[in-house]
Amino acid sequence: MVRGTTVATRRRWPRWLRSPDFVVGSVFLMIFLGLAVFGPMLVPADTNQLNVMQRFKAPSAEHWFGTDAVGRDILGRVVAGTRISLLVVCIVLPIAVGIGTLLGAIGGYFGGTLDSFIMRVTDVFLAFPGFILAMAVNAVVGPGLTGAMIAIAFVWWPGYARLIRGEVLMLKGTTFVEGARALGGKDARILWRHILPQTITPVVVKMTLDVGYIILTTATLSFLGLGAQPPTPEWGAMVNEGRAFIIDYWWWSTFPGLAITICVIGFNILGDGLREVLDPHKRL
Amino acid sequence: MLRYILGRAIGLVLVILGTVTVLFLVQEMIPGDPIRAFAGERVRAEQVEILRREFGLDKPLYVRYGTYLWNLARGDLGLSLTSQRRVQEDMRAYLPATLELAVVSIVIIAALGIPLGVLAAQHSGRALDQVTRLLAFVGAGLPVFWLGLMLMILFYGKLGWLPGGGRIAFGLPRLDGPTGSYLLDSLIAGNFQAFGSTVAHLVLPVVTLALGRLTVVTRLLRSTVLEILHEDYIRTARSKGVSERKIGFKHALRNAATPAITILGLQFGWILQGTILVEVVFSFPGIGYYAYNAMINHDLPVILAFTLVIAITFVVMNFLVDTLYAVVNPKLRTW
Repeated sequence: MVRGTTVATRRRWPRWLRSPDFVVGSVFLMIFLGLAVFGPMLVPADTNQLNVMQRFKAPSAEHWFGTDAVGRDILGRVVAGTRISLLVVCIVLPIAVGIGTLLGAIGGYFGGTLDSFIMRVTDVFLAFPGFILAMAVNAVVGPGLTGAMIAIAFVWWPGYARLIRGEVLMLKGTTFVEGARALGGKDARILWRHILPQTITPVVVKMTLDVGYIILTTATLSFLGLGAQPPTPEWGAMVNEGRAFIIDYWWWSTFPGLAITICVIGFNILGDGLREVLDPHKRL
Repeated sequence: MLRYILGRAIGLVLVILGTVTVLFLVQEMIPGDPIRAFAGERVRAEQVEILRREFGLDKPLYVRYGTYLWNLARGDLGLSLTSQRRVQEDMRAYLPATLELAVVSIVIIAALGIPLGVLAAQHSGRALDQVTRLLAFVGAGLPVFWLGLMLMILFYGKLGWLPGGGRIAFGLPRLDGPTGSYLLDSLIAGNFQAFGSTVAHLVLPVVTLALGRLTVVTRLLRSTVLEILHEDYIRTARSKGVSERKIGFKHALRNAATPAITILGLQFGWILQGTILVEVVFSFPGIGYYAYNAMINHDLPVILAFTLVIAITFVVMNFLVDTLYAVVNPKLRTW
């Protein structure tokens, strides 16, 4: 709820429009998706095309974000990077949510030794900085975008397992679940049809926030030379490429990093807005 | 309270054991043959087998797991493939720099985050509060490595106020003090030139590390203090005519001490994982920089040892926070 609005305006506007966070976040999301889908049509087709005559050009009307050491347009590469970030999220997030939901639901619903075991495993994962583990896994599996995605999915699922388990545990005791069981519903069906649909709100909010953090983690791994490898126009990899020239040609590392920042903040705002819209009681 | 701490200690051992196991299994998952990779393509198959026996890699999984645990228990982290030295020796040389960076950062976060949190709570809903909310959003989104580069462009490249990297100016004599911390060692030696140089070299890395977490700490502390400000005893204090400043910093903050310890303790993990990025950006010779070079050279024993050191430091830190929490919190004393 927005403070200071009158009853009349509350009635007039639908709920989702009354959350400024949600509106700002949605606009951001549309721009992000628009750039990922249509962006490549707006910028030069081949963002890896070398053009040595145009190297190290400062930002200008022709090259808004300037050019890099081999004359590639940085704006074009930042736009192309949107698609890579989206791709990583679209692969990593479903895997993490899938594994987490499966283990969390089983643990929460059936309880017992299996549940304790799953929770001890998630304890170990959540007990120390996830990024460091992702880094180690990425280094072991081998540098590259695939390695980064495996590493991120590997450290990301326990958060969802915890979340889902808590929700399932809470819902298990409710009357509608007892009713379904009294009617002879099978466990799998009760879980799938009655319990899991109720857990969607917190999961969707967490997923929205995680989009930004997954993009940030991918970029950080790439910055360390583990994730995407040059010449892939991944934001973190681009920041790393420009690092050696940072003092003389500031724009090379600056703009891709700015894109990462805006993404994380954007999805954070969207997540907060979604929380307000979907669940006004739990507003932080 | 003793039972509480004992329970925590058992949890600590279990988590460390779990971490070690996860790392061991990650090592085992390596696609390809590590011995072949180590020996190179030209070495004959029989020789590879000899090497395999030498490294004990021909033994079954549980035997290798046992050996791995035994070596770790003795403090042996393995052999670095690039430096050909024991990893623990390298770690010992690089760790003080990282700890200095982390400790100074956490002190700065506490020194600024606590008063800011109290002030934001007292000005809840007003301009100052809104500014901290906005900063928290930005702080959570800023990639640490990028923030470091931006600060470097500004304060080293454009303004030239601060050094752009390293731990101390070139040309100054090596500091071989007892603590390994350049700040303390230079003071003990009475070498103020070295002390000044160390401080100058710490400013940008510390600001980079602390900024994002500072905003988070401020927000977390704000909500804690805000809750306390609604308590009856605060209203009593106010009706007695106690000044707002005294209410905030004495009455409210004292009651927010336990959550504040937890909030600050949890930041240590974030700081630790941030050190590797900051050390890379500023060529700061700590264990993160060491691990980064290992990653470039695919020196797996070093990378895994680094992960383990960070994980154990983090878990032990959490244990200390929990223990401190029990000592400070009177509710837990009756246990």
